[in-house]
Amino acid sequence: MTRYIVRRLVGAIPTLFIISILIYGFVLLAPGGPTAAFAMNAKMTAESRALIVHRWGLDQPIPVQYCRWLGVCNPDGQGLGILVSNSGVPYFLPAAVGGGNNGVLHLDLGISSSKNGVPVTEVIGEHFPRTLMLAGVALVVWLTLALLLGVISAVKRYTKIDGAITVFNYVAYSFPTFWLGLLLIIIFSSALGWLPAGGMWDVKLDPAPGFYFGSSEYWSFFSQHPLAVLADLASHLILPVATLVAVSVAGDSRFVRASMIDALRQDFVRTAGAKGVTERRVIFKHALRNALLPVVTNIGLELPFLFTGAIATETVFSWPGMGKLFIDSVGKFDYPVVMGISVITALLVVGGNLLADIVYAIVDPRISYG
Amino acid sequence: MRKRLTVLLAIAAIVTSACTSSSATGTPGATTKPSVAPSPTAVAIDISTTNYKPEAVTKTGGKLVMAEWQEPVTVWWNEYDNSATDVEAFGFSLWSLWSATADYKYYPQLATTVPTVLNGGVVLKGDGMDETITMRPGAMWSDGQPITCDDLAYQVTWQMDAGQVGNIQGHLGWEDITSVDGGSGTTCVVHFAKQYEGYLGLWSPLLPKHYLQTVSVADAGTKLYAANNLKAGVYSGPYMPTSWAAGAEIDYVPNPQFWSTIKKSTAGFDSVVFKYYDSSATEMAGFKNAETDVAMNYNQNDLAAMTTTGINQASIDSIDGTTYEQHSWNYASLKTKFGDAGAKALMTALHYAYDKGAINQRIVGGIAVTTCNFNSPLVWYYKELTCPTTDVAKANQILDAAGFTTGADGVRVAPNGKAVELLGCTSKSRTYRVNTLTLLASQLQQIGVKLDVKPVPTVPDLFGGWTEQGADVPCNTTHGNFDVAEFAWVAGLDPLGIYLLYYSTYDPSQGDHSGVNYIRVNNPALDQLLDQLKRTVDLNKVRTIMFQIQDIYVNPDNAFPEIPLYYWKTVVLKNTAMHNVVNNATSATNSWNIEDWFKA
Repeated sequence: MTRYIVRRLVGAIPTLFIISILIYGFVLLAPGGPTAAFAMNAKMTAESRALIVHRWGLDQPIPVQYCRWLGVCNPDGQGLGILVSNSGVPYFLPAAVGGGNNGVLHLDLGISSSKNGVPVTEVIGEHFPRTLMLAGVALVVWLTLALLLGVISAVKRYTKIDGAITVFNYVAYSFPTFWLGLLLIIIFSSALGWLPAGGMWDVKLDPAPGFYFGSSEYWSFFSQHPLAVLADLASHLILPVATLVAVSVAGDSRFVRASMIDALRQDFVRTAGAKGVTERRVIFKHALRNALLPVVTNIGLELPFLFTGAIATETVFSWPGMGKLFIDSVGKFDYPVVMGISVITALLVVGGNLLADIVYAIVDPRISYG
Repeated sequence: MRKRLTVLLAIAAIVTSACTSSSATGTPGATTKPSVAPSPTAVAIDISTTNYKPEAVTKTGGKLVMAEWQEPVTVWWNEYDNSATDVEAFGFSLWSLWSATADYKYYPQLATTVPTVLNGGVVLKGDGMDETITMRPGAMWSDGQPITCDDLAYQVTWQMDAGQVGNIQGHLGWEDITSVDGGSGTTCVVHFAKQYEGYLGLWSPLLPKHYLQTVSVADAGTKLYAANNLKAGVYSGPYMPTSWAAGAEIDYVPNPQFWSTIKKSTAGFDSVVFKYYDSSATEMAGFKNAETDVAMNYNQNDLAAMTTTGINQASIDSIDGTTYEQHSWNYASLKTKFGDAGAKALMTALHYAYDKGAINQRIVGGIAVTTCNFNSPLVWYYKELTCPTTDVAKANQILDAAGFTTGADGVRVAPNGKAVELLGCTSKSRTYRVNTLTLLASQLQQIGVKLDVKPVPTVPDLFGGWTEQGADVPCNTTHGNFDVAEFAWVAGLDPLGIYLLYYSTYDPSQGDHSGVNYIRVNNPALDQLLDQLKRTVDLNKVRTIMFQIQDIYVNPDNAFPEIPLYYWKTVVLKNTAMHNVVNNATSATNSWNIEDWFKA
């Protein structure tokens, strides 16, 4: 297994390298370019733009720009010297051994161009926990529901219950996320006033300034009024989670249903039933465990979602997470943030696949990577 | 897209936009002389006596929550970004010498008076002038340092520094200043080598010298007032930002120095939150749910939704604003296609072909006020103009007389043989603009003009810069790839704002391509008036010049290639318990008098 993991990790390097070229290439091809944000500044002179272009290194050849962004080239170097750090060792090596200290390889994703002075890692770090909260809760709810509905649908296949679940799945699957989100806001927020229209916290919950998720004031208030904070968080979670779950659970429950039907037709399941094992035990102990194998793969592929968030849902509900950050950054031509999120997402996709393969081997003893 | 501010205090700004042709040497009305201005009465023009009288504060404390649907970009409003949202969020943290009231007057902020020729604050000296600025005595920056003439003097050097990276103010006006006297005192005299009409737009905002000096000029935009370290910033206004939860909110606390040395009273609120939603719809829902106290950045297109959302009518405050929806016609494109005479005749005919009343009725439900002027009726240099009325027959006569014939398909053919088939551009995200151009296309059919409407992304297609966008991108206004484009401009208090829009050398095809004369107007008589305007500080003379410019603008015979349609409404939602929230349609935005707000 260890050899397999190492082999996969090494194999991931060229994949990630190609992805990094694609990410950089797509940004280069994007209309407008990194300086597009200044297009509407009536008094931004050509001289002023040239200074920015120089400062951002955009006047360098594209391969050099890419190389610097990746962290392989030294921004201070000249000629072949750009590959060497100021300490004389290859620049891509960690700073701890004398290598470089900027670029993706050194976990430096640059400075956000729309949030003056703030490193991209800090911007992402601020948004990530919020997305983790939303996506995490949504993932738990939707997997639970997907499993339940899938199993019920399989066990009661071709009955009215199965039909009702199938209809629900198709209807829910057909909803555009943004449309469903707006509909829920109109009903439960605008019309009924039961739930907040958006955001992640009620700024009026704590009269003191600086009360927002993740701030010291937030945790301080939480320690004094845990129930109030949790209730507030839950009230903000209900609509976006419902939106995410309604759309996502449909696909996954169909997936579970199909796997489950296959499993229920297996000889060992029939044998278990013939031996007098209770139906519940047959379903959950024997059939479901086997039906979960393809589901595990699916979960692995969904892991990056925990990081990237749900773009449409976060945007509609003003949920200040990664998905909204991505959209906002695209709108503001904040390329460093867009590229940073893209790189991390690529890492997670590759990592999620690897994890799924490993878990697959663990839950299915027939599979060996030895 | 974002509502934009302009560069000086409040010149004019693109709110949204729009599209064909090549470089402009053509000139609508190139031979037109300035019309004889009806001499405005030479009475004292008062630009600073306001009707605004805030209620006495009866209760203080609590948390104020303001809402927007756009996230600000930077504390550095009007310095490193030109979004109106920046002013809403930080205009009250970094004050200027003076700002604009809701009734379009200047009122002093960090200064004690607004200097004019009339009150002796500005003294003309040959070609130059001296401006005396009296700072508020005892006023302090948030860190306890005094606000003095040294701050004014240093900012001149700082703005002019060649190391500036990304500063949007440029050198206009600053370059005319030769020195600032006053040192560490509060009576400052600014010496200008040339008279500069836009002098009231400088130091907007005023910046603290001792804070600016902590980093190099090149690093200021990123290292000072950094979003992740707002507490380290030095401020002058009533509330100063302490934290910025990206994508969610900005938090503020009262600036103790402001309240003790400037306002000399207790802050209206213990804390302030600037919360932004993702859309105007969710912002509206949030307001209805009492999540916020004041919700900003709405216009006429939101009024119907406010009613259907069930928002208390007493909370809706709607006024006619300074923003006007308009059609920018690319005169260079028309000239390239149809020649000098053809373009002039066509543009003149277009002025008569518009039915603005129908546009108002069918696009905005008849609630807007149509206009033929680029100024707000509330500014002191506004002239009541006689607008051309819709006259399709006259438009057709003009085209007939100019040799335009009508083809078998009903489309006119110019004397040079080219069919009058034009491209109308606007932002695809603004349905009402697409609908307006489509309606216009049907109106222009009556004079044999075929207009193809092409909605495109606002940025980068419509407003992509010269270097950022390819030369052949359809509808790009900078490259002139349009015949008519619909967007809106914000007219400011300062008349010089139009300089960037209508002065011939600001044609983006020319020079360093940073101009915003998208219509490629090149009218020597207008240029002459604008040059006079730039170097005139006597308000009576300024008004006389502005009257002449408005005459040129409105007269169809001058074929001016901009046709204004209607004024936008500026709409704000306010909790009925809020006091002194006065809707302000100027670029000072609705947070302009936050120091007077209280909730009771």
